[in-house]
Amino acid sequence: MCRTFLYALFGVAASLLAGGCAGPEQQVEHQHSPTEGLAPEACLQDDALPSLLCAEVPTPFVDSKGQWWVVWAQRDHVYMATSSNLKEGFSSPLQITSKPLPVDKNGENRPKIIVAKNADIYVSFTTKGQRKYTGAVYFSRSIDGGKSFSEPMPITDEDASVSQRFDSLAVTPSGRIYLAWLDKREWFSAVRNDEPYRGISLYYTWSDNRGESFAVNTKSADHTCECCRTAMALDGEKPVIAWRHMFEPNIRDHAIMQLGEKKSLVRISEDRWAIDGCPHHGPALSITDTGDQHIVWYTDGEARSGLFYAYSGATKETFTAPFGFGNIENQASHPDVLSTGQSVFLTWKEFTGEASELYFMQSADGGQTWSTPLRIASSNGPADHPFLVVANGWVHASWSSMVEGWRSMRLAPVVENQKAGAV
Amino acid sequence: MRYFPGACVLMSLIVFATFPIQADESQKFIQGSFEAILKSHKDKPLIVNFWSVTCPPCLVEMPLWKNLRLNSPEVNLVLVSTDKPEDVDRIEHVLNRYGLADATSWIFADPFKERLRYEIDKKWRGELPRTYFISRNGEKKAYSGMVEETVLQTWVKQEVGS
Repeated sequence: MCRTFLYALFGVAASLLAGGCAGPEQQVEHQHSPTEGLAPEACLQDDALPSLLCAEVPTPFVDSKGQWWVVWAQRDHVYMATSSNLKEGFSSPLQITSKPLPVDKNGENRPKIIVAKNADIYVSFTTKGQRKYTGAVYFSRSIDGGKSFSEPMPITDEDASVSQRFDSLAVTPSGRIYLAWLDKREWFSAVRNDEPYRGISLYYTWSDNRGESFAVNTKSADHTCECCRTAMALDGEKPVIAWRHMFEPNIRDHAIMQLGEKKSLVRISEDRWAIDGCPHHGPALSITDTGDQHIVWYTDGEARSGLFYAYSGATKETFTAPFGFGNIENQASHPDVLSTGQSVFLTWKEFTGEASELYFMQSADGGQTWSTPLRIASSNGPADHPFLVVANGWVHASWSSMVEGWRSMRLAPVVENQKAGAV
Repeated sequence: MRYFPGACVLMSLIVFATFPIQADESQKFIQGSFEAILKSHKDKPLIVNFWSVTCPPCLVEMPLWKNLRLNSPEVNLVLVSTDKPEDVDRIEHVLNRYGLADATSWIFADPFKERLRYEIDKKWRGELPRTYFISRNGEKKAYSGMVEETVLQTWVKQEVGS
């Protein structure tokens, strides 16, 4: 019997070597790589150089002089490049991370860059943590106009970091830096005590010394959704944040508040989306010089489904009735909003079944009436979340797609040369 | 050896016996995969669960699938991770941890996720977990968020009558 077994084994080996006796049909199908023909060949190489063509989740900022700053992830690093004139292109990419880090790089989690009035450059990003659904928010700065960046440092003040993700970054006119994120420390401590805790929490910190050090990590709100980006914008010196909250028992509707001002928390809309799941779809926020808050979001609630826009009333305690936009049949998603004076601009992406498309619409009366949506770009591959920025008096869309890389599109003039918003 | 025509048969047996271990490794989910999954489980009650390592509720839901396999083996279960193929270690770590190492597992392998989703279900906008209950007669029901135990049990009862 033993001999038979050995013979059999030998037979197998011999047959395999000889390529003889056919075994079961090979299950492996020889498919083309799904990225084949989508991503540029140069970007698929292991040693692909950092570039805006190969950039993953590039995110723009335009400073008050109209200078473009784009930050992105590529493999295990974070890079930045700048341009004073898009026609002439960008500077050579500068690597911000000194050692490889597991940078979280998806539409909802992406590096951010912001330039202060004093020309300091601040960057934040999230890395994936060791444990599941954990991460760490990092901060780095350049105080020499972008020639060099400080070693990125984790923003947590815990002895043993639990988890921070979905960071937002803003710098006020007076130079205070705000960083806000979704934190799991409350959730973990509840779990340790065998107590229930709905969602996770919204935390923030600030720096008054150009990012050399940060204040204690401070909780702003309990019970946020765990998996959607936050959106921060400034109302003068005041940091205002919008996020997907978790109202009782599991209603993932949106809320807005001034950081740290618990009484200022307002529910933007009663969409009533009850889901024990992850939408992976956070809001965007823009605030005008006069303090009007404009917000866009996605919901699939009992009350409504799709992309919606609303703006705050004079008291900021209520928002207008949600205004729906985008083609829900075409997966309209990930909108951005930009407001300046009475002008409000929206952008979002859709998917036709074949192609990714970028749309744009505008309002000249503070968001009361809207233009017809305009399709401004298309791509035959996957595309990133779009963003709106103002540069030299024009609204631009910033969009990245796997086939074309990063691009910007000049869309509409604005009445005054507005300061760029927070990212 | 010459008088051992059974070598091929034996070899096949050995290879077949070995193959399930490999078959348990996650397969690449591309365009057409959903249709292929439906076809290969035709006439059987099937649950397809889309999940991700970045979705906490998806993990909370995992014990439900483990119990389903233990208690209702007549129901076929397919788990599809919407992460990337390079996340395979994290994905398999999660499956191992929840006693689902030998469950049928697929991983999204097309960066054009909208295209995959559109093909699976135009109405699915990417929220997770997303579960499809497919009856023997092919009738499909979609469910967003964690499936409630009672919802699952009612469906299983209706499908397998136990």
